[in-house]
Amino acid sequence: MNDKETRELGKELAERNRDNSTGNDIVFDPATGELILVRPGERRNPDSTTVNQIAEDGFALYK
Amino acid sequence: MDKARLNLEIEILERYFPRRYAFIYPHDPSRSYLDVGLRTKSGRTFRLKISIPSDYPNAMPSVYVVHPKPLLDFSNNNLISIAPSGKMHVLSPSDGCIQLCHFDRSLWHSDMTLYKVALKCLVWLEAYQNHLLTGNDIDYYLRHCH
Repeated sequence: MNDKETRELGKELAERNRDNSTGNDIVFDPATGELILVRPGERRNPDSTTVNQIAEDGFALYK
Repeated sequence: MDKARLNLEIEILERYFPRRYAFIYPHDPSRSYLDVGLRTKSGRTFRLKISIPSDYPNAMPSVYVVHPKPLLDFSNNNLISIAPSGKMHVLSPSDGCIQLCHFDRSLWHSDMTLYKVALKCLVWLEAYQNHLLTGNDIDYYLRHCH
C-alpha cells in the first residue's frame, strides 16, 4: 500500500482540474503497470505514455 | 471488430498491458469484451469489463468494474446506490457493476483504442482511491468534458 504516492497523484489531478500548472507529468509506466508522477528533470521509462492530455480532456458528463 | 483492428488492439495491449488482459468472445460482436486488470498506486487491483460494441471502433465501448464488487465509497456505501452521478463520474450500472465515465461519446472517434480507454479508466481509479482517502468527490480530481 502506498498512500503517499496515491495522494501525490490525487494532488496533481486536482491541480490540473483547476488549470494549475505544476510542471510535472502523469505517465503510465508499462514496466509497473501503474501511473506515476514524473517531476521536471526526472528520468522516465522511454516506453511510458504521458497521460496529461487524457486527464485534461475531461470525463464524460452524465446526462 | 474486424480482424485487422483486433490485431492492432492486441499489438498495443501486448506492449503496454502484457499478461493483464484477455479478449472474451473476440469474434462474436454481440458479446465481445476486453477483460483487463489495472493496478493503482495503493496496490489494489481492479478488473474492468470493456464492452466492445458491434460497430467498434466507430462506436465507443462501455466500461464496468467487475472486481471488486460492490465498489464502496468513502462512507462505505455501495457506489451503485448513487449511480448515475456526475460528482462521482459514474453512469448507470449493469449486472451490479459500476459503469465508469471515460471519453465523451460526442468526441469519440475511430482512432481511439481500447488501450486509451483503459488508461483513462486508470486515471479514474486513482481519483477513486483518493476519494477513499479524503472523502472528496471524484470530480474534485477529474474535470468534466466541456
